[in-house]
Amino acid sequence: MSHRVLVCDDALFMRTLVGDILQQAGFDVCGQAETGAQAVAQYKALKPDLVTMDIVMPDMGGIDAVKQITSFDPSAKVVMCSAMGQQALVNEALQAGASDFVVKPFQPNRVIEAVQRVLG
Amino acid sequence: MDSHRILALFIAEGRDLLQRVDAGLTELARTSSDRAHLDAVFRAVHSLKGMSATVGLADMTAALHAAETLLATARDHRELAPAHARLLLSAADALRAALDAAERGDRQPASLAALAQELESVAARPAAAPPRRDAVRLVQHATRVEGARWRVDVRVTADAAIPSARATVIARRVARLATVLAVTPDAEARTDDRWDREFSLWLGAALEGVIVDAEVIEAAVRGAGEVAECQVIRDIVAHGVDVAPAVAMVRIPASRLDDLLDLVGELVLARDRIVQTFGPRADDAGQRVLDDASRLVVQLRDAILTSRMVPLSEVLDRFPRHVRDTAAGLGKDVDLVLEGRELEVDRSLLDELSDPLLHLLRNAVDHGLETPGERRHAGTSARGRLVVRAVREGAVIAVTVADDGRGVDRAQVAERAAAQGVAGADLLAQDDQGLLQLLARPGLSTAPQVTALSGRGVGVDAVLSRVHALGGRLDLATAAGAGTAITLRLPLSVAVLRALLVQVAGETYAIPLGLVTATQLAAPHRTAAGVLTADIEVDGSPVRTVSLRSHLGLPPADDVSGHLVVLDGAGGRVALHVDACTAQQEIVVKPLQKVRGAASKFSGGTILPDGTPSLILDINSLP
Repeated sequence: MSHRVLVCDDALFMRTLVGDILQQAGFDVCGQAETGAQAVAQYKALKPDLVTMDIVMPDMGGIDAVKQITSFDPSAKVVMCSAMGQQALVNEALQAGASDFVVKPFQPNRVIEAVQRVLG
Repeated sequence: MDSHRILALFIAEGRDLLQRVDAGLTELARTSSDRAHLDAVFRAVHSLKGMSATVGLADMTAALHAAETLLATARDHRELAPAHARLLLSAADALRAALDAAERGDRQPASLAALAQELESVAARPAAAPPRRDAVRLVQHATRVEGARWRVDVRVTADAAIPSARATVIARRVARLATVLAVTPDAEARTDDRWDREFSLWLGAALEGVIVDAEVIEAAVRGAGEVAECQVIRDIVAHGVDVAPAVAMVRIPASRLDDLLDLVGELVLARDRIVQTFGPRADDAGQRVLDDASRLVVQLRDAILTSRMVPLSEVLDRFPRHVRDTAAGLGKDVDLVLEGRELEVDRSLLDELSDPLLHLLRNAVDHGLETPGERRHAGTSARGRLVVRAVREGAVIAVTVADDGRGVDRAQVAERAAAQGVAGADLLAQDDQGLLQLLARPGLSTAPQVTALSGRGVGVDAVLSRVHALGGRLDLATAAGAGTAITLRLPLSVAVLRALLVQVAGETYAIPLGLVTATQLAAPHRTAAGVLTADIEVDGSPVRTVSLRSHLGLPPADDVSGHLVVLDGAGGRVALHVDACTAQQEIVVKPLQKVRGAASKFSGGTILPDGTPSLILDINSLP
C-alpha cells in the first residue's frame, strides 16, 4: 500500500506541483490544505503517513502547524517546504518538530529523497 | 508532469496573487501600519517568488526576492514607507506584464532586471553586526566534551541548500540512538556564512534498548541526507587520544563567586522570611511548595559553596620550604609531614588559614622542637617530626600542627604569667585550655631569647584572635617529653556562619556558635558579702560574668534574670549575661566598614530572617 501524504501550501500552484511529483513517485496524496489551521484539522481527520508543509501561510503559519501536529501526534512526520533565504525559519521548524525540509525551487528528485528519508 | 498545465496554473494564480498585492498595498496607502495587510502582501509576494523560481523565471524571482526583503523590513518596523508602497505598486505592474509575456511564450521583459536592482537598493538593510569569527573558530576547535564516548565528524555536501538545518536534521537522527552531549560548532556558529559545513557530534551513552556501534551511527548520519563525509570515532574516553577525561575548566574572577555567594545568602534569608510569613497559613499543597523551594535554595547554596572550594594543598604545599628555611636558621633537623592536602575548603578560608598556620609552624620549630644535640640527650631521634594534619569534622575543618618535642613547660608559663600579674596562673597552667589562654596573652613569650621568627609573643595571640574572628576555635594538647599539638577549627565556609542569636534591650545580636560551650538560665544570687551577682561555676571552676548591656554601654537591666552564654574568648572563659537566647540560625556574614570605637566590638553584620539587621559580636573585645 502506498504511503498517504497531506500536502499543505497556500498556493494551488505549489500544491499541484508537489502533488504531481509525489503521485508520479507512487505516493497517495490523500489531502491538501491551504492554511496552517486546515493542515492541523486535515491531519487529525486523515492521519496521513507524512505531511509536506509550506512555512509561510495565512491563518496559522507552517511552524505553528508543525507544533500543533506534533503535540497531537509526537510521531508525526513533517517535511518543510521552504524558499531560499529562510534558513532561520527552517531551523525553527526543525526545533518545532519537523523531520526534514526541501528548498524551493523544487527539484522532483530532492522532494522524493526527502520524503523517502523521513518515511524510511 | 504536464508542464503546460503547471505553467497555466502559475500564470492564473500569479495574477491572483498580484491582485492581492495591489489590494493590500492600496489599503496600506491609507493605513501604513496595518499589520494584517502587510502580512497579506508579504505572503502573496513570497508565494509568487517560490512559484516563479520553480518555473525557472530568474529575473522575476530576483525582483520578488528583493520585494520580499523590503516587506520584511517594513514588518520589523511595523510600517511601510509611502515611497516604498508606490515602488511596490509599480513593481506589481511590471510583474503582471512579465506574466503576460510568459503566457504568450515571449521573453521576459528587460525592465524586470532593472526593477530587481532598484528594489534591492531600496531594501538594502543596515549592515549586519560584524561576523563573530572568534566565536566560530573557538567552538570549531573544541577538542573535548566531558563524558563523550563517541565523536562523529560529519561534512555536509557542498550543494546542500541550508547546511545548518541539515546539521540539525542529522543531529536529531543520531539523537534517536544515543545522547547527543554537544554539537560543535554550535547552532549559532553554524549559521555563519564562513562555516565550512563540517561539524562534530559528541555522543554519550546509548539510549535504553539501543545497541550502538560505529556502523549504526554512520547509517543514521547518512540516512539524514546531504552527507558528504562521515567518520565515527569510538570510545574516545577510553582512548584518551582526542578527548582527555579532564574536567573542563572555566576561569572566573573570584569577585563573581563572591557576588554569587552574597546573592544566594540573601536568597536563603528571603526563603526564611517566606517560610515564616506563609508557612503558618499554608495548606498541604502550599507547604509542599514551600518545602520544595526551601530544599532547592539550600541545594543552590551548597552548589555555589562547592564551586568556591579549593584544595588545601594550595596552602599546605608552601610549608615545606618555610619549615626547612626556619629549621636551618635555628640549626634544627625537621621532617614535615602533610596530611589531608586533598581536602577542599572555601577559597576565602584558604587565605585566612595561611597566616595562622605559618605562625603555629614557626612556633613549633622554634619552641616545640629541640636541636639535634638536645634531642639526642633526651633519648629521642635527632630529627624532629612535625605533622600538619587536616581533617573534616562535619561543617568544620580541623587543622592540627603537632610536634614530637619537649612539650610546653607549664611551670615556666605560669611563672611568667604571674609576673605579668595574672591571678591564678599556677592553676590555669595545669589545664591545657587554661595554658592556651596564658600562652595567648599578648606579650607572653616562653622563648629563652627573641629570634627573628618568633618569641616576641605575637604568635599564639595573633592566631587566636584571627581564628575567633572567623568563628572558629583553638585547642591545645601538650605533654612533657611527648610533644605539643595545637588544633585550629574553622567553619568550612566563613561566609555562612551558625550563630546563636541573643537579645539585649530589645536588640538582637549574633554570636558564632562555635565559640559557645554552654548556655544556662541566669540564677542571680547574693555573694557572702551580700552583693547581687550572677557569677557561676562551670565544671567546678568559677567563671567571670560579663554583662552584654554594660559591655555595649547600655543602661543596666532592672533585674539580673535572663540567660548566661558561656564562651571561650581570647581573654579566657566568660559567661555573657544577656536578656534572652532567642534562636540558633545560619547567618550570612557581611563585613562591617571599619569604624573606631563601638564598631570594634563587632566583627560583622547580618540580616535576620525577619529583615532586621543584626551585629555579630567580636568575642575578643570582651573584657
